[in-house]
Amino acid sequence: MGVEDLELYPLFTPDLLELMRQLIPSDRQDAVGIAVVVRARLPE
Amino acid sequence: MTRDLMHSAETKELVRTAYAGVDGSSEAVAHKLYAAAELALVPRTSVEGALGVANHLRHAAIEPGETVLDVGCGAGIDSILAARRTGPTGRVLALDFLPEMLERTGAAAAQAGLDNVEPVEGDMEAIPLPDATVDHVISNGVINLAPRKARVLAECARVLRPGGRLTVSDLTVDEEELPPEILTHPATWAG
Repeated sequence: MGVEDLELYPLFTPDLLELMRQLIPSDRQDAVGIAVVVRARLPE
Repeated sequence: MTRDLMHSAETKELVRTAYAGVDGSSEAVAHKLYAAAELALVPRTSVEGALGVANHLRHAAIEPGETVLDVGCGAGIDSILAARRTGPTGRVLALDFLPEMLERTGAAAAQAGLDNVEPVEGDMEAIPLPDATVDHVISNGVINLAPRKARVLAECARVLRPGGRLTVSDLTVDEEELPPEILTHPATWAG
């Protein structure tokens, strides 16, 4: 997920997004977070 | 420990305030994560309020008759989709700590003609369900919001029946890649 994707989520306020745009190198702004899927099973 | 608890309360309040103000304008999230055929099964209010980070349901083998717990149901998109899979012999317990979200999920379930979605108000760090009563725990982009994530996972394990499954999608970051000003920003405490 990049900075632009995070704009859709409530905790990423305009001030935080602006800070991210300022401080994260532009070539890394399209991958600041990773969405993962985890599966687990409780033992019988 | 006192500091942790203070930090925990601040984080929860931050999340509560941010998510209670959600105005249903995140439809782009739904279209990015879900197929049109999936979205056709869900009322528009849930689609407009989608705030997940992945489509974990594609990896979740939810069977008819199962009891599913959706941790942090939000506007209800995953609860609705899961309830269609469990069918009328199963049920989805839609857990959220925001009454606003529970109302949206309940209304969406009613609109979808589903009577097997049960809104449950509660904190994911202290799930208000008995031990070993759930077949499948799902959650989408929510556990990262908890101040004590290990506590949430312990609670999920507690409510699962032996052999029960957990299918969770969430957001993670590489702390080495982000500047300290970002990592210490109040809004990223939750993540």
